[in-house]
Amino acid sequence: MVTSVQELLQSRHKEEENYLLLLHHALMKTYGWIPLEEFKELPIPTVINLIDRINQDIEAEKRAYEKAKRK
Amino acid sequence: MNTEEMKRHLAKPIEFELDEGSGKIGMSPLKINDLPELMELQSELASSMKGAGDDAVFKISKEMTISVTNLLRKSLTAGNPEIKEPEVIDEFIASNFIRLMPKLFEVNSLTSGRDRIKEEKVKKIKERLDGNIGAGASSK
Repeated sequence: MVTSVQELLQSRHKEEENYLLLLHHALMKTYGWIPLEEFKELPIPTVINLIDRINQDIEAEKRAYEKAKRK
Repeated sequence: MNTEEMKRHLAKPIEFELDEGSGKIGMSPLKINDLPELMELQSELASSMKGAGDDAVFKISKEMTISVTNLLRKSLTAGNPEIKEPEVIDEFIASNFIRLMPKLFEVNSLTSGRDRIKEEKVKKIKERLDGNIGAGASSK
């Protein structure tokens, strides 16, 4: 349980770090190594569109897998 | 993808005029490092919103004002590198705050191109349905 403002700020900071790390991880998994400092400089719309692209690929792979399973 | 979307994708400044003939202002997309602040701001705005559509009313807290100013400063500084005096940017933000805030969310849209197309299609279908309902009601 959060007991102080300091703890609340720390937990929020941790959440933000985790969120950015997840995005960084998702991009590196697809495109290879991206230095953290370079990742931090990427524009928001670029990352949003790349993540959407990755999701589209996952969806297409899932559909292809389901189709192959039915055969 | 249109020119504006391509500019956003490349972090190039998007130019706009606040008033006709008032001169073009550049606004660059924020960096991913600013995403947590932008998302927090959006969720705070959404939770403070009352009403919907054109009648929506927002209650902007002091913290939200500081956050918007901070993000606008970053976006405008990157979009107008020829302006070397930070106080000019700050004064500009202070005097055009309400008009600049929607631009900030527009330039840093968290909606992907695919989702925007979906949203537009849904909007068109809704408009068509509303039109049909309106026409049906008037013909009765």
